[in-house]
Amino acid sequence: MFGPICGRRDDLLRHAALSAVLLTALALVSFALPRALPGHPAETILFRLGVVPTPEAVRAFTEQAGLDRPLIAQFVAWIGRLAAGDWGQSLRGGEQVAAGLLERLPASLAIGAGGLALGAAMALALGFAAAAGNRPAESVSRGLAFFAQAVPAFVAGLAAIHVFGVELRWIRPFGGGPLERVLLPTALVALYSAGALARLVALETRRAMAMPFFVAARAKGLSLGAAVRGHAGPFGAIALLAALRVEAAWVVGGTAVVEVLFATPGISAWMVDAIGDRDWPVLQAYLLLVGLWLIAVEALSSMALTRLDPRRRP
Amino acid sequence: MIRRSLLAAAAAIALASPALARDPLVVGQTFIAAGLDPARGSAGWALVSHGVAEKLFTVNQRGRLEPQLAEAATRIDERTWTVTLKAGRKFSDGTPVTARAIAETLARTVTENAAARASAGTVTFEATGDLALRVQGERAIPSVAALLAEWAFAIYRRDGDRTLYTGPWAVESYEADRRLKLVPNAHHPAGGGLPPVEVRRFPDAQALALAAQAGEVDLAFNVPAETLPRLQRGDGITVKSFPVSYQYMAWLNTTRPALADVRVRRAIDLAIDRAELVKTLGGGMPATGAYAPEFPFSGKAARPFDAARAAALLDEAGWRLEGGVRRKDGAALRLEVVAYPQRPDLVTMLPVVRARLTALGIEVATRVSENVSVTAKEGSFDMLMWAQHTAPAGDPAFFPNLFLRSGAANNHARFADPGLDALLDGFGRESDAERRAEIAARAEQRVFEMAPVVYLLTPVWHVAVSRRAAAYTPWGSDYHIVRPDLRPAR
Repeated sequence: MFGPICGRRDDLLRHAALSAVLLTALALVSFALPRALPGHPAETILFRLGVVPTPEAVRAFTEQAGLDRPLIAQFVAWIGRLAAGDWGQSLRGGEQVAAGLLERLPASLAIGAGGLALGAAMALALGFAAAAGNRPAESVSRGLAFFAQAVPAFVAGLAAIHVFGVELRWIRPFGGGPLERVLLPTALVALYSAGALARLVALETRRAMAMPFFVAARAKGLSLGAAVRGHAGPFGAIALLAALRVEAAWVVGGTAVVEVLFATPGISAWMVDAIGDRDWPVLQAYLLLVGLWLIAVEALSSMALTRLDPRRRP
Repeated sequence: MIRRSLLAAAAAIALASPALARDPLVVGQTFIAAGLDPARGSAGWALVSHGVAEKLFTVNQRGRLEPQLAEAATRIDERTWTVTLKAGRKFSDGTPVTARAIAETLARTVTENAAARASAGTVTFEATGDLALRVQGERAIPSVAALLAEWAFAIYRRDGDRTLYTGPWAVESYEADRRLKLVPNAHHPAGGGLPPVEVRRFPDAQALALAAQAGEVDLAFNVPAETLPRLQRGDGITVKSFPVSYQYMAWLNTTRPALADVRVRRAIDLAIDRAELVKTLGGGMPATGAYAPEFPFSGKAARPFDAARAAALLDEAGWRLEGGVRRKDGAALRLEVVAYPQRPDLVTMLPVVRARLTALGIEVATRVSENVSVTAKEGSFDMLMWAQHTAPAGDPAFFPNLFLRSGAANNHARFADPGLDALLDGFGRESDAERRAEIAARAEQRVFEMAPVVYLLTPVWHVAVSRRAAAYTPWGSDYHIVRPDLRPAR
C-alpha cells in the first residue's frame, strides 16, 4: 500500500542528493577554473591600471580584495555570500556582480534565445519542405549549413553591418532602438543555427517517411504535405528538440562574438573583458550562471521530450 | 506661392536648427568608464578622458604641465607642498570646489586605489584654508604638478550615492559597457555653449569604423589604419591622424648571456630600420627616444639605422658570420622576440623585426604572448616588444624611474647601471621643469649608449569625424578625447 509513496520519497531524496552533489561540483568548478588561468588578478589589473606591481602593491590589492585568505576560506565565504544573494564585486571596477549580470542578461538572452528560436522555426520550415522534396529548400538548408561551417561569424557580422547599416541604411545597428539593435545579431545567430538544424529535421522526417505507418497514411489518400505534417513531422520535431537541448547551452554566454561586434553589452562580452583582467568574481559568477542554465535546460528539455515522445516514457 | 514655400522652408530650418544643435554629438570609442567612482580601477582616467572629471593639474596640447583646478603650488620641503586652488570653480551641482572637499575625496582615493599610491606612496591631504591644500607624500614629491596630474587624482565630490565632478560635462545617464550620456555642466567656465554628448563604446574597432561610415557616430576615435581608405571615401567624413604618446619599443633581456654584452644590444638597436616599421604600420614616426615628439623633453633626431655598423659590432663581440649564421664558440646567436595581441601593431611589426635581425645572421624565433605581464615578470624572452605611455603626467621622470632604474619593478630588461641611476637621482632633487628636461636628455643619452631598450616608433592614431565634428583636433592620446573644443560645426 505504501510502496509507491515510499518509492516516490526515495526518488525525491535521490534527486535532492544528486542535485546537491551537482550544485556543489558546479560551484567548485566555477570557483577553481578562473584560478587555474595563468596570472593573478592583482598583477593583471595593476598592470592594466599602469601601476607598478611591486610586491607591496600586489599585497595591498590582494588583501583589499580578500584574496589573501586560504582558498577554502575564500570558497566558503563566496558560497555564504551567494546564499545571501550577494554575488560579489568586480575586481576591475567595483561593480556588483549580481547587478551587472542582471543588467546584461536581457541583451544576451534576446540575441541567444531569440536567434535560436528564429533558427529553430527556419529549421522546421526548411527541414519539412526539404523532406517533402522541395529542391530550393534542400539547397538553402545545405547552403546555410555550409555557410555556418565556412564563414566566421565575425566576418559575416561585419558584412551584414556594412550591407544593411552602411550601404542600404535600412537599420541603425548601433544607435537604433532596442529592437533595431538586436535585429541583425539575432538574425546572425539564427542563420548560423538554422542550416544544421534543418538538415537534422529533414533527415529524421525522411526516416519516418520510410516507415509503414507513413506509407499507410499516404495510401489512405493524404497529400504528401499533410502526411509529412501529420505523421513524419513529429519525428523531425522531436529530433529538433533534442538538438536544441545541446544548442541551448550557448544561449547564455555563447554569443560573445556578436555581442562584441554589435557593441551589445551582454554577459558574454563582459566575460571576455573579465578573462583579460582575471576578474575572478565575475568569472566565477558567470560560470555558475552558465552551469545553472545548462542544468535547467537539461531538466526542461528532458521533461518536454518525455511528454512528446511516448518511447521515452517508463 | 513660391514666397509661401520659401517662408515655410525658412521656418522649418529655423525650427530644425535648434533641434540639430540639441542633438548630442556621438563619440564612438573602444572603451568607456567601468563606473562613475574615480576611486575604483581606472574610472578616474576614463572620466577625465570623457570630459567629465578634471584634476588639479593637467598636461596641455604642447605636452606641458599646467594648473587645471589649481592656481599654483609652493614647495615646503622634499615631501610637502602647498597647492592653492582657483577661486570660483564649482562642482556640477553648483557647490564650490574647496580644499576641504578635495582633501576628503582624495584621501578616500588614496586609500582605495593603488594607482594613487604608485608615485609618492600614501599621500595625505589637509585643507589649510578654503583654497589652500597641504599635500604630503610618504615619499619625496619632486613635482606636485606631475603627481596631481596623474589620472588617479581626478577631483570629485560624493553626495550620497551620487558622484559629482567639475568637468565641462556632467553625467546625465550611464549604461555599463555601452554608453554615457553627458549634458553641459552649466557651472563650468566653458559649459554654457557646449552641446550634449553621448560617449558610446564599440569593443571592436572595425565595427566602430563601420558606425562612422553609417553616420551613427560623429567622432570615431582610433579607427584601424586599414579602414582609412573606405572612410575617406565616405560622404562628409574627414580622417585626422595624430601622433600619440604610447611609444613602441623592445626590451632586451640583459640577463641572457648574449644580450649581457652591450655591443650585441647596440647592434640590435642599429639593425632596426624604423622607417620600414612606419611603412609597415601605414603611419607613425621613427622614434627619437623614449618620448613622443609632443613633449618638450623629447629627442630631436631619429634613432639611426646602420646595418654595416651593427654587423661590425657583432664581429667585435665575437659573433662571427658562418654559413649565414652568427656563431661564437660554435653556438649560434639565437633570440626569441615576443609581442602581445592586445597591441596588434606590435604583432604586425614582429616579422619586420625578425627579417632585419635574420639579415644580420641572428636566428630569430617569434612568439605572441597572451599574458604579457607574466612574460615580463618571468623574463621569459630575449626581446619583448612593448607599448608604453612614457609621460602620462607630462613629466620625464616617470618612464626611466619605473622602467630603467636598477631594480625598478617594471625594469623588464633587468638592466642595472649605477651611471644611469645616478643621473635619475637628479629627478628627486630638481623640481624645475626645464632642469628636469635636461636630466631626461642626459639619462636618455646614457640609455642609448647602454641599449637595454630599442625605441621603435611613435605611432599615429586615426580619428574619423563627421561634418558636425569637423573642427575637432585630436591630441593627447586617449587621455583627453571629449574636450570643450568639441562643438558642432555651424
